[in-house]
Amino acid sequence: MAGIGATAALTAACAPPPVRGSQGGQEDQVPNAPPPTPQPGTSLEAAQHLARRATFGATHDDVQRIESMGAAAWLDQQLSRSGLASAENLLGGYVTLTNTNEQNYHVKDEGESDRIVEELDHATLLRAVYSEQQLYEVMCDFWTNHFNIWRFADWLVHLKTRDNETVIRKHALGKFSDLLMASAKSPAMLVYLDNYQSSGTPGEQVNENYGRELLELHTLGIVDGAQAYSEADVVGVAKVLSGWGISWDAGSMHDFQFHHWHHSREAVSILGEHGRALHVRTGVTTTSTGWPTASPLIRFLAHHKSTARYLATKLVRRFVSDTPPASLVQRLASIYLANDTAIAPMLRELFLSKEFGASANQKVKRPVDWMFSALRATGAVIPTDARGKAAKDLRSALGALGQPLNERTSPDGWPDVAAYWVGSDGMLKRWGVRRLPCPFHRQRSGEGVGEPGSSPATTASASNAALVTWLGTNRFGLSMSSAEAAAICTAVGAAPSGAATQIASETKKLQGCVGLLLAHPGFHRR
Amino acid sequence: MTEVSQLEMTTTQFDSSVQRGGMSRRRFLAMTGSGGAAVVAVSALGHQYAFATPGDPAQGDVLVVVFNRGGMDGLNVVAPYRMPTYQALRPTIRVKPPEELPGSADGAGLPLDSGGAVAPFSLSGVFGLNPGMTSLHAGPWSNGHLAVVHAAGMPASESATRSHFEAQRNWEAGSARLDVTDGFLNRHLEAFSDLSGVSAIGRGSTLQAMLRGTAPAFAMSSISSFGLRGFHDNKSAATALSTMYPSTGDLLSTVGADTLSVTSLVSGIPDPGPQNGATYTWDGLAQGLRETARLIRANVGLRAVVLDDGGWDSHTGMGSPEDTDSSFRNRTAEFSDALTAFYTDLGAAMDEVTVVTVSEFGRTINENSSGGTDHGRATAMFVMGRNVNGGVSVTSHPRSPTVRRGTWSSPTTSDGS
Repeated sequence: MAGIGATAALTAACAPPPVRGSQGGQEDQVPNAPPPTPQPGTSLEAAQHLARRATFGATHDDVQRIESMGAAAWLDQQLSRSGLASAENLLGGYVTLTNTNEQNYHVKDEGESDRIVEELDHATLLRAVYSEQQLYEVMCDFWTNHFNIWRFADWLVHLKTRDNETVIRKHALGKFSDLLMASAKSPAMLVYLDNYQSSGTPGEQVNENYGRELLELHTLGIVDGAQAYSEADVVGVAKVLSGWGISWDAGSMHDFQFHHWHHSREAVSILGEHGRALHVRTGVTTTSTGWPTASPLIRFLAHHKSTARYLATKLVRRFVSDTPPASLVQRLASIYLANDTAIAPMLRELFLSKEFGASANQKVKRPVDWMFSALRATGAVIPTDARGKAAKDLRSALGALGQPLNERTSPDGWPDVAAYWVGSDGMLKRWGVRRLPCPFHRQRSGEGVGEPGSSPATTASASNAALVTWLGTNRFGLSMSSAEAAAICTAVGAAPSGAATQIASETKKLQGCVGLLLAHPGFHRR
Repeated sequence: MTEVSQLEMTTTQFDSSVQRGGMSRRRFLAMTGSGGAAVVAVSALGHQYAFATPGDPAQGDVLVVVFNRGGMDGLNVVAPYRMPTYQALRPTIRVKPPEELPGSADGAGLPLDSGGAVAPFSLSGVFGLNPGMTSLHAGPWSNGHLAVVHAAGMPASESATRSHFEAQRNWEAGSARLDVTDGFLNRHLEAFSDLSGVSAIGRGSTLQAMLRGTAPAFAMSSISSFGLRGFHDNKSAATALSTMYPSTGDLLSTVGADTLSVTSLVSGIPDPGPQNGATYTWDGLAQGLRETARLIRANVGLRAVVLDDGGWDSHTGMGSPEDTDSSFRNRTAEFSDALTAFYTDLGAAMDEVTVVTVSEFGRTINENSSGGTDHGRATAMFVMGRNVNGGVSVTSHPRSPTVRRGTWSSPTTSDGS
């Protein structure tokens, strides 16, 4: 567990505990609270808001750093990633992460495909929870969904890892055109959306699956029911891409390979009839070339204004609002086109925009957001063994919550709107997550996940209700009413006005409080 | 009402041997979605049956909607197996009529030439079920309790989309209009004045879009997991949660409050097991239907249930229907067996239960270079229940398909889009 940090204790020694935020009304009950230090830069509320959206869970440290650095400087550091520790040092021994497709094919062949799955998932989780490059990790998740690949489709499970490492993670904050090109040549994508077995030779009908999703989900998009492309464009794109497949040769097995014998040589024009940008490919006559003609199409699509608008809409939906403000979408789209499809300038504009500033707490966390933020808020110490019990427990908990990692079956990725995620089953699972094998549950000789609150810092002069309010405010960023704090105390069998040592000294009571704080509606918003 | 009626069904093209049926599909869906006590099914003969429970309104009728996600290839589920164009364009994957496979007991399409009350069947010789669907054919179909609404889809004037996600949205909203944001089944529920308890369930960890809206509807991945767990004292924890989730508030708050108010109705309901000799397999749809039957029997106030049935996006490797190991045949068998088990399990109670199946679109009539079919427009729906008049309904036949192989034509549209 080296490298994770030893701060498991939720209420431990970050004394004296300052009460943060204006809410709660309990400040006078917490002893030794110093007056809040006013910051000239970013306000506490703005820092909390930015941290909730640009990370996988706002920790006390994140908020403080944004306050002291100022939002713009913090963002620039996140976007450049300079000086920010990654979590890669936790992934020693994860050989399948760096294996070639062929090597992972052999791993699978030897009956070890679980290892591929488990190493990818636990790497995803450890990176999301512990990397200081939080915005990068959040964007890796964003692009993983944008270019979603269900790893259990067909036989591709051993190909997903290379897509993750060399498509998504390589380009997550780079240029979209590079990301798109890498995805188009990604064996996992070519298998998932069937392009590897499409043929456009005379007498054969191309498989339209990838061509359609390339236009609909990856580039031009459909925004508010409007789409720029026609059915003919779908087929045209599928023809241009026919022959993009994977190798069956030892030494490069399952890597990208062009198969000219499956490539359509027909002339194709894309989007021409709409009078907008037009991509024309004249007929291909040679027998051995042809694949380079698809690359200009990929670049053309990346630079199309519909792509700009669609990507901007999705980013704003992810980071600002379920109903993206048109003004911000428009600005981001212009910035995208003006910067040769670079991703970082769009994000900078987004997070510093007035639309973003006005959107605090309007988003609902997806299960992954909620779980990761809970792990971060509680300072959970997660064993790094990808195949250990804790890793398995966390994987299955995310499955029960409805968002198993890397297992969205359809190519659209997980939805990011409250209407999708807010339902009875999800609420009950989140509320009862302590029953699921997960960090707030138990600790068993290093196999379980670290217990929060083993060394509570409190004094007899504080009340149970004040302790609960302090935890909620400082550790979970909640705005709590005194009625809520009292209800939580009562639920765990502690009198709200009783001495805080009562909750602090009984692990079961403290865990009950943490469970209910994680169930607070404020912790489901971001 | 108006929103719903905009989502009428349209047709793909079949041979001109398909004769006109009766009631318009517009009316069918309009009534399905419009609420009131009646849910209407259509038959090829144009009969319509309203079914309600006049004697026992507290019991209520239950509408069970199964969404075949991925775009079900209706042409290989309910195959026009003697149609020359179909035969020509699906050389390796087509369903064959019995006369092509003499002496073969297993492999040919299952003729839809009689269906209980419908005799002689008006579309005799036109359609056959995929050979994987013997259970539906021998059970609900031959009892006259299974209707097929073929060539069901959205009119191009409304939406010609072949996007999974747009088409699913349109079906579930009951409209292609962007300002319709609730689900058609939720609007159906709103029309009831006596909703109480667990009036609607969406099977799964999230609620299907067709159930979203102002009427309470509950996502439920299983009966046994539908409760508050994990606290030392769950009852006290629920009290605290009630303080945090007042019923007046935003979506998060109201769903939380609604959920807390009904968990006790579900916990501990009896499990008598499948009745009447029904056997459910272990796939998700079958297990979902098994629990649906259990919930219906438990009388918790249920009016509508939605279940998802995935895996219909058959772009590749559908295989030959004669091959008992082929993927598409097995997919149809699983679907058929799940519906049949539910029908058998509920037995006489199926007079108060209607199952409707829907998919976002059908698929191209031509098979592609990967032995599959790509996104098309219309597909087949099933309606099952003891008050359904069995048969196949295809109300109009569009012109024959024009297919220009090797060009960009998209052959299954009847509108040229």
